[in-house]
Amino acid sequence: MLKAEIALRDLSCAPEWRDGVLSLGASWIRPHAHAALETLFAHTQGQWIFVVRERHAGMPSREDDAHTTLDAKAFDELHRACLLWPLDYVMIEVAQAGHRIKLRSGMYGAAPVYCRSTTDALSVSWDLADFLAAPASIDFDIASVFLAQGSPYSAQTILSGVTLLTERAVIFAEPGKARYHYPAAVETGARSTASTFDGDADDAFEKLLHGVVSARPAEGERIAVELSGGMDSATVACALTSAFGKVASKGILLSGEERQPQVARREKIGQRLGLLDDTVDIDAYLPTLDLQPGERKVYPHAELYLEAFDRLWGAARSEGRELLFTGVGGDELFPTYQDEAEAASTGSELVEQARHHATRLLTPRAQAAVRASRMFDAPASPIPVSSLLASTCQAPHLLRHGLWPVNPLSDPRLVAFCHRLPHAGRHRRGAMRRYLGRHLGADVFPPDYAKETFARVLPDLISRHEKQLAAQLRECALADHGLVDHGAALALLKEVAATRGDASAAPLIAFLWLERFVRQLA
Amino acid sequence: MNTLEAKIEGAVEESNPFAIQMDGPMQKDAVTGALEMKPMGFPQDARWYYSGG
Repeated sequence: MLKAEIALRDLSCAPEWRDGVLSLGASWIRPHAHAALETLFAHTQGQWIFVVRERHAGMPSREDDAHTTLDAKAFDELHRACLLWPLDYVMIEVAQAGHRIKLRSGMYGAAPVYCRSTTDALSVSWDLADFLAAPASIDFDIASVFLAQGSPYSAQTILSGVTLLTERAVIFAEPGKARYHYPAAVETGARSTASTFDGDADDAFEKLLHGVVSARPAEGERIAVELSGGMDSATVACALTSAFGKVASKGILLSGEERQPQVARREKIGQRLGLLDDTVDIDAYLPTLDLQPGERKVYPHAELYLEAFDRLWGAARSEGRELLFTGVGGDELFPTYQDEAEAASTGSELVEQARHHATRLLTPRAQAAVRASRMFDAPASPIPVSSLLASTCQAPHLLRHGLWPVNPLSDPRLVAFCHRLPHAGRHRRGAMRRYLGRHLGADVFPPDYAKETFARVLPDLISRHEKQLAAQLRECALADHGLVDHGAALALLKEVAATRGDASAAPLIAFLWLERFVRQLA
Repeated sequence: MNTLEAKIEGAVEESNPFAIQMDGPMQKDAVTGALEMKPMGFPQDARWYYSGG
């Protein structure tokens, strides 16, 4: 949520806060300007802190402290309070003597920053694309894992020398030295052994969820919610209308057999909650499969349906919406523990098949990189790692649109509560299902409700564009990097075009998106 | 407050339930001279040297 270019020698200069930028010598720190964020700048003799953080409805703003020099005790207290801020933040701390700087992140990872540290400078940005202007090379290990259908959440990124400030992590830099500190692991999966929550669980779920959305100071007219028509986004929409009244909803409509039930369910939700609904057809905004670099920088871990979301996010912003609430995190909110194993999930079989296809795509060297232990991934987090990764994918796009992402179903307090629920509260998302029944009526999500999915979109699209893709893949950047077997890539394309299978399409999609990313590197 | 509320409030109010790294502000003074390893280009010299200050 900030960008900075800092020459470490400038850290001894007196910082000056003017026109939304903190300047020190030729260096600068620019917070992301957004109504959902506040900036705090406080100093004491020889030291200062600069914090960009989400505003909290129940906590007073401290923005006026910018003009105050605090004594050591007050500075210490403010420092501690900033570390424990209950929503997301990025904090910079500087000790002028020795030109030392610390950069740290809160536990939400909603819009994480990337950093490049050299012997005498530190560059920081929430947009990975900012690091593509200079010559860059890809990290072989991360690229291999990505192609093998892995999703590492790690300080290590796809670009060598560019570090992701993962949730609660700290980077320390001084001239000639830099180091990265991961936080302690947090295990939230300690379920309740007693039945303490029985009976009261539904009330508690509602109270916590409403508390989470109400923590953001906002009015209904500034809020939009992504509404797919599924349980997760519907739950968030219910909580938002309870807290803020009428809000806008945005959704992408599928084609084929799924369309009619999706439209019918969305209409019921919209009518019963009084949502101001807006949709686009996925067929009108299909993802581009052009592998040639365009003007717009692309990311490997990208939102796949960016064209459709771009249209919705643009519309939301032009209506004056500033906060975008999503259902991210809903899938991870009600885990099944090992001794409760229900019918084997077909999802895991699909993943295994996809990994099998992916392995055939990789060179022996890349396969070896995938098999190596990942010793430097981030430790267990209060927020499920898939939610953190989803935030990493979406955030740069949303911030560029002037929207701030909020994922209430990933809130660490709600996650901790739901993971501790007894089996009845978690089974088939019991607490969420009953919440929806109370707010929408039981007919919207019947027990046999089938979740809609984008799974068909890309296999069908790839099949239709096989010839163009094969022509563009006569040369293959990832093969040149020694990551991918060129012949195997072309064979996988042929297979997906013929079968349109989910399991074979997944590694092909990862390959195509990474190929496009690598082609744009200088 | 019933048991349930106490449980929820407790989870919310614990001082640092999610293990934020709680170090204090950085030390204000920087050491200007320190013992450092001799650069590897000069292995024939003494192993340690004082960098001044």
